[in-house]
Amino acid sequence: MDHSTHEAPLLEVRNIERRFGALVAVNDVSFAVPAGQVFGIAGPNGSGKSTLFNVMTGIPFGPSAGKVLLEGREIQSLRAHEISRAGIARTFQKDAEFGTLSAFENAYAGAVYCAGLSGAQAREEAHKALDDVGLSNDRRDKAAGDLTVFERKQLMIASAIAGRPRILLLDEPAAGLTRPEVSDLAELIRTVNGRGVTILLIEHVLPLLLSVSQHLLILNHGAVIASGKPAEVVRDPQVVEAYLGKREAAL
Amino acid sequence: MTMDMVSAILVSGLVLGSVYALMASGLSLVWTTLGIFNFAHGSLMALGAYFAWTMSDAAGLNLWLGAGVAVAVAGMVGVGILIERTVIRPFYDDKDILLITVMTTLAVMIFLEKGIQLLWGARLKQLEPLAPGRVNLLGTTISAQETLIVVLAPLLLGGLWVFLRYSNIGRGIRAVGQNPAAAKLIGVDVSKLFILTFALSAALAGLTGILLGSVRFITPTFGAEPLVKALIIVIFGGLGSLSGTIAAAYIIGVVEAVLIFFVGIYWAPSMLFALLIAVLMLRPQGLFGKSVR
Amino acid sequence: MPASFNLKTLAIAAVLILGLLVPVVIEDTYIRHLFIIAFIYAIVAASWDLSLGYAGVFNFGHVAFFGVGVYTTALCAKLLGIDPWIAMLLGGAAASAAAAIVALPVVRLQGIYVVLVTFAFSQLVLQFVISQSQITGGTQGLVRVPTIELFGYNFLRDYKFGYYYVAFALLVISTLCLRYITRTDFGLSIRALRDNEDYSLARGIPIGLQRLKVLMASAFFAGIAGGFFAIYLRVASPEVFNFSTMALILSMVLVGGTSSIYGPVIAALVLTFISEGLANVNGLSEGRFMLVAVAMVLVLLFFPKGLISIIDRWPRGRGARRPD
Ligand SMILES: Nc1ncnc2c1ncn2[C@@H]1O[C@H](COP(=O)(O)OP(=O)(O)O)[C@@H](O)[C@H]1O
Ligand SMILES: [Mg+2]
Repeated sequence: MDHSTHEAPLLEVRNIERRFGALVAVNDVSFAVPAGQVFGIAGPNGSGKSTLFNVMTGIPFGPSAGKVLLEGREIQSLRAHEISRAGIARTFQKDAEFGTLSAFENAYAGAVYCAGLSGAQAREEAHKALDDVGLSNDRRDKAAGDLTVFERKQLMIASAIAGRPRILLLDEPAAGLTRPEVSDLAELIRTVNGRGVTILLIEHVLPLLLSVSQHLLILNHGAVIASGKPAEVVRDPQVVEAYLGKREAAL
Repeated sequence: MTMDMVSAILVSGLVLGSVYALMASGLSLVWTTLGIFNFAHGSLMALGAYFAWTMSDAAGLNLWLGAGVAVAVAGMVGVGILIERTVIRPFYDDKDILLITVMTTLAVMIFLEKGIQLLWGARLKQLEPLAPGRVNLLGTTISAQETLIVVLAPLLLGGLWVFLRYSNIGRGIRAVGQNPAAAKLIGVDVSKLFILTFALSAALAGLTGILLGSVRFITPTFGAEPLVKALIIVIFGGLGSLSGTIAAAYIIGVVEAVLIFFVGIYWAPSMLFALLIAVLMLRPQGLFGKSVR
Repeated sequence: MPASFNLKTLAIAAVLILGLLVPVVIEDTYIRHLFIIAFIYAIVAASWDLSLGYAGVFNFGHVAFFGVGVYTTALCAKLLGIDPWIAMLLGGAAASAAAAIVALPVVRLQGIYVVLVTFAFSQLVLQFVISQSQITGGTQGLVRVPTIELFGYNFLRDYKFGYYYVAFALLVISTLCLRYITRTDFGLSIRALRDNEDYSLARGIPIGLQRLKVLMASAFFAGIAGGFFAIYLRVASPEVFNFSTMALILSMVLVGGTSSIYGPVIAALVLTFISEGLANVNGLSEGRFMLVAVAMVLVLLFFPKGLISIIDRWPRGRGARRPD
């Protein structure tokens, strides 16, 4: 896929940096994501992937330096909930849900506070999102904390899309899933993407990442070491050494 | 402003700061090790003073004050162990331990306060000063007992620091504070250290009470005001580090003395709180604290 | 669903009717007095549940909001000559304003620091009240606070008949308001941020603002209760800030069970009667608080969700309903 240079990208990250004391967790990272893409991000553990999502969304902290632009508008100094409302919805690497709220209420909260809907409209949007991710009807009244691992992943995505985001940031959604569940997840990602939601996907499970992404960016020690078409990127010797090399050695 | 006034303010700030430092370091020690905040710390302070009073006062057993101090410290160790066992230990594995132990230690505070009132009555009591007479400090005359507090506090805190740094038990306590799981893995008896730490902090509270008990009157609620000050200090200093807590204690002591001097005892508490809010607005993690979480 | 709905309406109607009948059946002034005090504590406990239980804000300054209501109302009515009914409302407003001041730092803090700041605040309000003795009466308190009047009805010579109904009305109204708040979208959002702060932000919930609002709302009811407390007892004394008062009301929230509103209300009724009953037993006037403390620990040990969780278990099992 060729990015057209004349059209502004939906999301652009410019020279983003995040320091923790002496550690530079994200180091001068720049990239652009055109509307409609599934944009994959990979890298070894501790390479700064989650931190990148953190600083983009301001949850729980913003960048030390650099800019994030949504449709050309700078958003890095907005407050975290305003960034979410501006159309960037994220999920978390560790399990995140409103545990004592029902599954339905989880999605409903997204519809109300992100999409700004209310009443019947919000309820309808929440149910639609739950339908989209395939969470069965009889599970929607259960407390989110009582759902299965896979159901919680579904719910996490449902409450995000109930907020009608422009962009969905997924942080290792396949972690802890069985193989058939991973392919269900791939299907789900394609469905959501098909509805016009641009997706940034951090993933360790490479087959999933390669099967859904149109673009792949590799981080190592906080810096971008490769960025391009997935098939080409995975052959990049630097990438092989930094990340895939370990895998192959282990195999 | 004359030199006399400066030194008077400084000296009274030092006295306050020393008491607060003793108080707050016990709280900080328990926080960094057990991860709980002990609201009963103030009533433990009162209890220590009452123990010492009972042993030493003419109306009590009329023994030498040294015996009072010894028995009080021993008693406080026992009470500390008892409290840890009954209202803290059962909740170590609870994810809401922080909130729950706030409530259980509040309950202990009420229990001790009312218990003291029933046992010893509400009448004011005072301990014989450990050091009688008056002393000239920086050109300001204060009681020898206050001087003793000013001198003893750094010694006790220094002793605590040496203990934590160089003794095996002390190193164990710090290891547990930094990472309980890892400490357990390398064979540290975490549960024993928790008890020890709590007992140590209770003894420290008792000693503070004894020192203060001959400067102020002892009442069942004698520890409430120092506890509130200690709260403000740990908010300022951050709970996480002993040195930050101690520094904050002396700063607040001097600030309070300055406030009392300039705006009077009536407005000082409100001003202190306003200052606290201002600091928190600028640095939510406290003056010295690193980012909390 | 209709069956459980009817059952609930019936239960509420029955409680309301019983509540209305109490002063007709019971002529003993002291018992009526206990009911009135219990209703006041019930409002404080239930409103505390809103910030502590629902929103998960570690607010330990709630009793100070009650105290702010007590003093504001007493001062407005006595020194400024404001109509006591209006003064009660002002008590609620002042408590909300105090909550807003506390919220300034609290919304930016986490965990234990929230406990410490709110707790320190409550003690500083106490010291402030005591120190401004020319106005507040210091440790002696304010006496001879003017009382309410309604269409010329005299509340002082009816053996607390009128006060009972005012207190009951305040309790019913606050309980309904609090329940309503918890059922709105706002109520949903505060439970959400209690469950997971970061996730709430990721779903667009402005957690600082919601915390500010919930603290102000819960303080408002506590302030009104405080206002009525001052009007009813006709004194404002610094005892309202006592650790003992705080422990008693906290035990009501805990025993009743957090996140339920009704739980603390019921617990307040029961515990007020027990506590006042014990106060009359020889030697227990102070010792009863030791029992309260023990009860708190026991509840936390054995019924961490409050005694209401025992009752709560069975209706839920039966009425499992499907969404539409
Ligand atoms: N809040 C934080 N404070 C200090 N260091 C952090 C913080 N968050 C992440 N880091 C550090 O930043 C680096 C990148 O972490 P992270 O973004 O979680 O990596 P990844 O998601 O790629 O596995 C790691 O070294 C981690 O220890
Ligand atoms: Mg990560």
